[in-house]
Amino acid sequence: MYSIKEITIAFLGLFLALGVFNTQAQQTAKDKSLEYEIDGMTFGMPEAEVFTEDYDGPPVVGEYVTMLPNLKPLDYEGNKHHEVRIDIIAQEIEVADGVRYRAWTFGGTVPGPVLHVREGDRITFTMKNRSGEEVTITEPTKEGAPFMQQVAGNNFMDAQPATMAMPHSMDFHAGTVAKDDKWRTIAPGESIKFDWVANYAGSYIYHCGTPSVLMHTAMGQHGVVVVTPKEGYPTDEKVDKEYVVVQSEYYLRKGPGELYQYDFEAAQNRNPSHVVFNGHQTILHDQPLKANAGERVRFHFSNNGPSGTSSFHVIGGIFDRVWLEGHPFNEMRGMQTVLIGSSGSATIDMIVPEEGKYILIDHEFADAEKGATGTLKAGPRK
Amino acid sequence: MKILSFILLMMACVTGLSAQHHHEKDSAPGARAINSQHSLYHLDAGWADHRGDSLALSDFRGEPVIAVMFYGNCTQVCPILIQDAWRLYSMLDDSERASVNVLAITFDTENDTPERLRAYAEREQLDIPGWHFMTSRPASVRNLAMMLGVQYSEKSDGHFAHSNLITVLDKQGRVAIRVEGLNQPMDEAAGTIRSIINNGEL
Amino acid sequence: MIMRFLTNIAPVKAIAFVAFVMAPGLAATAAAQARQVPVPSGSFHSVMPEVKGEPISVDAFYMDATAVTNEMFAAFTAENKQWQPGEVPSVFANSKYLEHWNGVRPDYDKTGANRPVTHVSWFAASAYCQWSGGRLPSLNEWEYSAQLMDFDSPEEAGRFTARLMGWYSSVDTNKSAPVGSTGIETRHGVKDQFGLIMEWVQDFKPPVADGLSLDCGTVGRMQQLGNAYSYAASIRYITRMSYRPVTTTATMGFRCAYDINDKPETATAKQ
Repeated sequence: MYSIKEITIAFLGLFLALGVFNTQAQQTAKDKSLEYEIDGMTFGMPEAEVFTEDYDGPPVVGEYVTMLPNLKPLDYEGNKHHEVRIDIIAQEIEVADGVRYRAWTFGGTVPGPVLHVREGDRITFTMKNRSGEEVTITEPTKEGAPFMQQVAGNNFMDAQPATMAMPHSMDFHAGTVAKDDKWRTIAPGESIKFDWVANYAGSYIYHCGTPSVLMHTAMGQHGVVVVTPKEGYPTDEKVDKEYVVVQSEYYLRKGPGELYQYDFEAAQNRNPSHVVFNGHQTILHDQPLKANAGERVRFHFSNNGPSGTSSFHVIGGIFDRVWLEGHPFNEMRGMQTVLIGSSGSATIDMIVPEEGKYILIDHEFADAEKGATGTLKAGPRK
Repeated sequence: MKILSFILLMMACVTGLSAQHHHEKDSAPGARAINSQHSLYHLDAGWADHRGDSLALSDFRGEPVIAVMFYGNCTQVCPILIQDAWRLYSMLDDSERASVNVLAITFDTENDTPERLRAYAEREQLDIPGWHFMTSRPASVRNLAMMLGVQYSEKSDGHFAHSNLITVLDKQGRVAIRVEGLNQPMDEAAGTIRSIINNGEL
Repeated sequence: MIMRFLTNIAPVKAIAFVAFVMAPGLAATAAAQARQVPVPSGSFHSVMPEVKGEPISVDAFYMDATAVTNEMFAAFTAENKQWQPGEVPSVFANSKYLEHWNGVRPDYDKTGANRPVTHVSWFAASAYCQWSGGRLPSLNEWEYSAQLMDFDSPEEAGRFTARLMGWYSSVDTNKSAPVGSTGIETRHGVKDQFGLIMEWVQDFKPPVADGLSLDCGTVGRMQQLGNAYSYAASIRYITRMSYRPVTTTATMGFRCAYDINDKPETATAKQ
């Protein structure tokens, strides 16, 4: 039999546990009054909060948030509740040799940071409209997402702080919520915070939804969320490399000074000045993707537009598996080219045949010649 | 010994259960994220009401306030809005009503003079204690609308396009609850008023 | 009594003293007197018409020829200490209010002379205009005045609009220009309604009567006029509508309007 002392301690421990558990539950119990499930998916998120905060820390926070083309592996089982921040800031960036402009961005790059989650994960997202503040993204910082260290170590857009106070908003295509609540426009200096659940697998664009959306997206406010399916894809065991590649357009013309600026007539006429992978005309040539012969490379490919389509092909290869919009149910096999509309995506497996160079390309050559190309450099078979 | 363990076990269960109960009481009645830190009584302009009295907004400090904005020549929408304010007011019992002021503020500062407002109040049978139909300089009305979050603009024909809102202010003049639109249920707002009356500051 | 005391010291010193005391007041008055111009009554086609297809009429009014400058706003805050940075409650302006100033005075070394005042909230702008005997212009007054520009040809109008769109997407707030310097002027002499700053108006967020929510289709719905000018205007409307009355930014300033009855000469009556 246990002694009185042991029993008392056990009960006191029980109190403590109950107290902690209840505080935890109390926080989430308050929020879950509207939630419900259908087919295992969660809907009915609590109302977004719009508020003012004094935050001046790193603009990108979150364990699984990285810079293109990197994807942070999901090193956890089941689902997780992520706390993510991506602030809106203006930055002066280079998008092609000799072409710099003052961009509107999420997190400081165009496209913005890549968020990696699992189907069913919940994300508590905070965003401050810091478009009127000068924010530097190139100082290495221990706080903040892996994105911050990656940008600091590889500032290929030569990002410089800039200011251009404008109202902005966020629209996560991966989130299923009421747009008049969560995708609200906030004024410069305001912040918004809301929860969303990644109910479906795939690669989803996120972009600013403030009108003119053509302008806000063309000015740089877009990025992707990669939602890995709960059960994964059939070939997961065999994948050796994973890369995120995003195609997008710029509509720029020379401004009065050194910098370029938005050419709205070109945008309305669907006549981009540059069509690029990962935001920069030559980055995937200057910093090619790497693999070895015989390896299975997985591309998470998105076309963020704002207006164009992409006929995505890799010169020298054939896509072994293509999951349209990244859903395991939408499997196609043996495709030479995948047609992706604006905001669409595909998860693509390709077997690298032999050592040498492979060119990622939008096979609509009017796009390719404006920069929609990249290099995959393959080493010998290991 | 055994009794002690039993008592401790009971206490554990009760703590667990009461903490559970504590959740439900804590869940706020879904009030929208308003910036309720800001008191409207920062606005120090002078107002005139339909009785010809000169007032400041801060004169109403210390008791809850129902605020609604309208204008006299508005024939279709404003009567419904004023009716909605009356409906909220009627949900309160006599002693609660004695502690509440209703401010009906006009957009139409040019036409809705105190005399016109008095005629309006009498016609609507709302010239009753606690109800104030008010006007001021155009800029003061605009300032108040800005703080309440009411949008309005004057049209070419002298009418006003406007959003519809009923607001409850707490004893310090901070926004406690907003009810947007017409013909809205007022139960939550009535509950808020009662809380303010009973709980002090809110 | 004070005069006798002063004249006892020495008449010259007295005069000097009085002049010294009055000078800032005179300077302030001078600074606060921007030139006002009459804008005659008329009508215009708005991107947010009251009745689809019909123009909006606007009564005659006076408008500041140029935006309110740091100098002018400094005269206002000197006389109204509750509007100095640090004194203004957060209910009337956010924490960046007048952040480009050096404490309670402008920093002319940093910003330059005769620049439009920015980092002011709607409440501050409205208070200034009331102090100077006027008010903020209404949205329709401002927009009506802005489109009273003459172009030599449709091509010139097109070039202007392209320039305007460029400005809306890339204004460089580190390089501000003095008021009156953009070269953009209406036929009545109102300057820089474009190209310098965004400006507060009385009803910057008009009631959304027909359910015009700020969504991707909003710009399309505003294209009743089918020309590039209306596209630029819709960007301006949407941006302006998205602010809050406490918002302050480096691109947001204002100018004042005056009712026809409150003619500019009576602006001295503000004291």
